Amino acid sequence: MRELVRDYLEGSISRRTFMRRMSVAGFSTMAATSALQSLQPLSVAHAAVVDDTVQPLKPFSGRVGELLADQLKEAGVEFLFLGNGSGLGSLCDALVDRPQMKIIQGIHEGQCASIADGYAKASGKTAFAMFSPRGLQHASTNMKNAMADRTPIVFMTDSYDGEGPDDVEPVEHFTKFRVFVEDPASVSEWTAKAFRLAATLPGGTTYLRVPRSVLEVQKVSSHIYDAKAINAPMNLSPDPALIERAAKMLLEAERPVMHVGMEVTSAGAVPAVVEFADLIGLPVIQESSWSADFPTTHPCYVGMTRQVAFTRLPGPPDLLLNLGGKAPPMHYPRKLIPEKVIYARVENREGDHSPAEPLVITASVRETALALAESIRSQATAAQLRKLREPRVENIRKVVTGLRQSFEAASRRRWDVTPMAWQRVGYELNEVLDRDAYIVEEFGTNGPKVLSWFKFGEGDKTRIGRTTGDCLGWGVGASIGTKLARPDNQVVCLQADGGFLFGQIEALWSMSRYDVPIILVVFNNRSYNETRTRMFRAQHNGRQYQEQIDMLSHLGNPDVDFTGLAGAFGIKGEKVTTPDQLRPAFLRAVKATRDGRPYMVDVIVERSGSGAEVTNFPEFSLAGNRSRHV
Amino acid sequence: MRVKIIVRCMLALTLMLGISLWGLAQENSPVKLPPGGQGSALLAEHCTKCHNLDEVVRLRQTREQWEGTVYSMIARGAPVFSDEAVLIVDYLSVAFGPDTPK
Repeated sequence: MRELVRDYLEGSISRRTFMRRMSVAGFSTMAATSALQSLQPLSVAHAAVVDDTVQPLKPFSGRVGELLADQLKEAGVEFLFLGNGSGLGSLCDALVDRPQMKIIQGIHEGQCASIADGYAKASGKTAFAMFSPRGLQHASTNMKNAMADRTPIVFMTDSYDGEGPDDVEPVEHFTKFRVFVEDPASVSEWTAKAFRLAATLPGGTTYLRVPRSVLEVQKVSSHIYDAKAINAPMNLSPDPALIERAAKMLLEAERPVMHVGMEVTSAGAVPAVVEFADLIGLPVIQESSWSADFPTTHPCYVGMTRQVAFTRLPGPPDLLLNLGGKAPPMHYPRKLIPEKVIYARVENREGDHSPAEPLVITASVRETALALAESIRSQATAAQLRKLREPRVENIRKVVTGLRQSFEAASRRRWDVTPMAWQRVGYELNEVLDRDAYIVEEFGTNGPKVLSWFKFGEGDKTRIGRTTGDCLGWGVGASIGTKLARPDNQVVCLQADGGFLFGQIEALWSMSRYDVPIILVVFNNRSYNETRTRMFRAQHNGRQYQEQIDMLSHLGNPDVDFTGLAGAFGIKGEKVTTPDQLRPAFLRAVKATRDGRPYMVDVIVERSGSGAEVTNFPEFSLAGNRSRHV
Repeated sequence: MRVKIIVRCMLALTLMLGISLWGLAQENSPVKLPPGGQGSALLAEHCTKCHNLDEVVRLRQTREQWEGTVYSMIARGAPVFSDEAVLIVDYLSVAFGPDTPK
């Protein structure tokens, strides 16, 4: 089965051949079609659905709610991220007698999804979220975020009488697998399969829709399915011939670069990728990703793709190895993509590649990195490898050190301004945080101003965010999930005011109810800074620019009282307006979290870019336009 | 005589370098920049990696304002070394100063 999937994904066999071989292997036409459909959007994932990989472990007799709860327990679920809905009654009944499984309630389904997302990312486990089918649309933006990041989450809703399989379609683009479960006895099996699929690399979201009448069945005979099969992700080993060819290309290249992306982290491949890069001094560029996929302090690390620091290395790259990053590589300057390109990842799709004929290795990133390192060692002596590595590492050091000095000097030119520079806030924050803190961020292009002060990697900080799904309204919930997964690490949520106001206020309820001690820093510039900058820049002769009026992006008036919002949920906090207030405020936040409660610091920061100084907006008062003052 | 030859060679080299970098600048940006040696070339080569120069050439700013602009870009991650920043500011202050006609 595994070989069949890989052959299909690599284009070695056609769709028809895939179907025929599936049939020969004993799968029904329906099963083979389902597998094929699932391979279209994502790659390997759905093969496991039709595969015989989930095995019954023990018989079960009882209510369907209990069957579901026991299956979730077997799958390793510690926390259930639930929204309110009467269809959850049978599961909640079962949970009364299963206190080891904890409910984390979200009062908005979008936040159920983001909390689950943060938990899955920080724990490496598959998360489970369930809510009303009417809440599915609320959840859709954060389901989209989770799917974009390939976060393993199983979503479940009940459904109403008269609904059928077509009712799973609204989440087609946000899930890799969807099923309408009609047989009460099969609830555990489909749940197990949904977990199995979600965890199968490259990961992703799955969705089960179960009629309430099924969930409320009082007596059913079924099975609980074995966790060992459910939680063992299907890894793909690389083709040895392709590895040998890739290793040869890497050894022959004069100026190779490696672009890393989120599959590195999701595959647990960071140590293997570090070892491989270090072997030949490969300059490493970090793609926009929800994680730091390579340690930022490593001698091979050059920087984020978007900041193009790698373009300061001598000469243009003559080989690009894209290891676990998106295809084509996000934000990588198209004109700098060399003729020789290697794509190595699970999720390879036709049509994504540039140039037209790259070397494509469809396999798990960890196995690929290990195999490449082994092949390189077999093709070159230690002395040859040193000769390749040393000048490259020295070039990287010069570029990284020089740009770092330039960044710090430039930042310090505006060190004491008010409203505050983002760089100053990032610096002060870094001074007080634990070395191994988790940073959950939902920044846009202002992110590097803050994040550049932190070191990310093993033993240092861990970055979670920004989601590559780009739907704002994710960070606060994700930080709650992160803290649930990492209760013994400091967790800091870095959130700009615009993103906060995209439906995240409800997350404060969960944060407060469950005593989730998070340092929540709001970077408050009272603006959707990016949209204003882009509008003014793109339409520089437009009417907004001419009249110096900001039609959509100014968020001042009312100036949102974020600490007041936090206070409404019983969360303490303070507003900071000058640089000298920063460090004492952050220290109070650290203390509050050590004492077991969340704490908000609302920091007034500067706007930047085109139209930054513009605070005019189209004023309208309904009250002033009434004919009757009622 | 020897000094004159060296000076001429340096001038020729500077001109060649200028033309070469000017060509690069033209390739990276549709905006036609006034010639300005290294500062112009650095601007065209590095600043256009993230944005075009349409907005830049519209502005007329004092040296202090150009410093603010350039260093603010570096402080958000523009890949420009400190010594290069000085050259870019020098160029922008002359080519797009407050008295330069639009």
